[in-house]
Amino acid sequence: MLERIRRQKSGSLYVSRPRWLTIALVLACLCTVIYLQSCTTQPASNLTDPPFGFEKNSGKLQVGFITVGPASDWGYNYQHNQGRLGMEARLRDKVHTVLAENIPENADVERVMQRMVDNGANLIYSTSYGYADSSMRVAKKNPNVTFMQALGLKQAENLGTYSLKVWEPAYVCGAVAAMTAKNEGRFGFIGAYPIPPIYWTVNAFAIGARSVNKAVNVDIVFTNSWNNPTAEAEAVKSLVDRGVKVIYVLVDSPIVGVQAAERAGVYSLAHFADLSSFAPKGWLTGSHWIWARLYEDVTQKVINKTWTNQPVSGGFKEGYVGLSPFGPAVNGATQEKARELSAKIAAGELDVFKGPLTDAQGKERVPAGQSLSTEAILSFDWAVQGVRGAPTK
Amino acid sequence: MIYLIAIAAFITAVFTSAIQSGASIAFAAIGEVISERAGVINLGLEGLMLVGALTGVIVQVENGNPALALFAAGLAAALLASIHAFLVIGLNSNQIVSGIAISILGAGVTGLLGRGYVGVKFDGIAKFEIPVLKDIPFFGPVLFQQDSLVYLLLLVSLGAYLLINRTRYGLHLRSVGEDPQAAYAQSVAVQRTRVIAVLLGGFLAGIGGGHLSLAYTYAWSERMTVGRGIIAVGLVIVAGWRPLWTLLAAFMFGALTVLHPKLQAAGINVSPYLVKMLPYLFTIVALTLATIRFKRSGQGMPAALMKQFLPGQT
Repeated sequence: MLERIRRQKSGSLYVSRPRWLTIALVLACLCTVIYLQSCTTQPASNLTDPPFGFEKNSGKLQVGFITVGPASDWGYNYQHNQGRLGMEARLRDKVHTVLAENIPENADVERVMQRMVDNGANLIYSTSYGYADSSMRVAKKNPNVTFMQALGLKQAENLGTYSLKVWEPAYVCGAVAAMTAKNEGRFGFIGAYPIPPIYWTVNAFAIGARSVNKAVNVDIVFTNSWNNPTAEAEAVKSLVDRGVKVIYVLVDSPIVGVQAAERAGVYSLAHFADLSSFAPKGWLTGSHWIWARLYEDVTQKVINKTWTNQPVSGGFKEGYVGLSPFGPAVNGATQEKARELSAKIAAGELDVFKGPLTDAQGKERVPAGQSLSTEAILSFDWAVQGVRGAPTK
Repeated sequence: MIYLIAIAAFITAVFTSAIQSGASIAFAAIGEVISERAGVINLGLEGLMLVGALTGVIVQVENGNPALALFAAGLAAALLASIHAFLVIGLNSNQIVSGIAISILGAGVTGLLGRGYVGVKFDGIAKFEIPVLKDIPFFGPVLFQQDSLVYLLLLVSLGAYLLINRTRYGLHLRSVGEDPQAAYAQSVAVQRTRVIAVLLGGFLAGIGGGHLSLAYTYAWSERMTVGRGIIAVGLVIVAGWRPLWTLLAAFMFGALTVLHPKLQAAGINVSPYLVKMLPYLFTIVALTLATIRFKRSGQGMPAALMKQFLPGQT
């Protein structure tokens, strides 16, 4: 608008801009760049107020948590944060915790971890599966800090791994679903990727449902993303179109799926947290991840200096997992049975992945009398009979 | 016989979902048609849709009136698009760079401001079923059981067609997009026409984003558009810069997008990665065919697309 085409003495044309405009634009750019720079660099010599809010000399154990998504997702990251808050409440005078959320699974997380360490962290919980390589690298560079990698498979001297036996509540969820949706044979499952955490859940869900009603089949739809609301809404629609009456949602933020199931009038269950407020009529129950207990146990060990890098895992017995509160559709008798099943699993009387187990193609994978080891469960890559739609292996 | 019925039901379900999935892209693409016909390409549709989606959610949560929420969504996106208009028309900046900057800005701002709205429950825009017509075997669910925004979309696309081809403003729009110097010589207000076109495009992109969050997923999530804005720009080219054909292209894209979950739910074991590629493969193939067709027929891109306009330049 303000540029004009002028003609030089020689006759050629050129574009000119008023000088004041040029200067104003350049200054505006410089100011923006300088402002943005100042936002991201730390004040150089302010040792008494490190970023992240760590307190270097307070005597308390400084614990940092890193999540891949927002703590407000009512799902995976929400539960980790609930765990952090729960642990902090119980170990109040001994720990100080800090949360860094929305850190993507790339070089950014290494920077964040290193900054946490530089600012006084003694223990870092790396809560996302995709952080595993990064936390291993940072752990090797900082031998005096303890690292805990969620769902990790490799340990180092100062890096341990932790997980939850979520297949235990998933089994009970399947049983509850089959008992509530008594004559229905089609259940649905929405998972993110065809990876072990999805497989061990959907398989346990199917086995639990079929232990009540042999005719149940679970149709699984993969959204190929931990967080893609449009794909999740579409997956629910597709399952409902096929006549599915129960849907279990396993993505980082199950809200969209649970709400879509509620709108379609089908029962819903979810992973990670209690989403009954999103589905007042159709919510059955869910697999509740109780990180607080696990965090408390591990952090207490670090405080007492009795920590080892052995993998930490637990299920009903240790109180690390539970069933989400029941919805109105689950009657008293079913709730009693669910509690009974949970107690049996906790006492070791009921083994979720006990043989004989056949896969979806009909091949026997676990013979009668045997059971899947924890390592086999953690690397689950096949679907049991009753689960339809998973890629064949 | 049973197979035929099952297949018919499957196709009906696919088409019904295709329209829901493609509606948001269609809004953005029709807006982009208007903008590009005037000679301004707007690659910021992704950011504009996100802004529209978040604004729609915020107004719906705070106020509860879906019509107001949609209007606010369009307005907010138009506001963001006005930055693009100022940069590109006022300062003659590179349209591609400005568009991408708007896209990134929209994504960042909505990610920041939307933190408090992730997981918030609200009543979105419900389905609006037309009483008698909805029971017709195939066309019933597909055409008459959609949410009210889809009906709005049909009106908007018709309106865009009429605007571009049957009004004086549309004539100015097309002339500015083909040869702005000639239009300028005919006393057409070139800059003003372009600015209005960009703002209109932004407004429609905002409504598209609003549809995504208020009528399709009923939630807000960071970067929830997952590339639909960029696809919309491609679909404009596929459709030959014609609003009604853009509608078709968007629904076609929607159909391929929903094919993946529908096939999985039906228990058909196709590689998820192959099926997820289909919509984007379709866009590439259609783009290639469209470009070849245009080169042959001579009709196609508005001649002055992406070119700067400086009054008096010969």
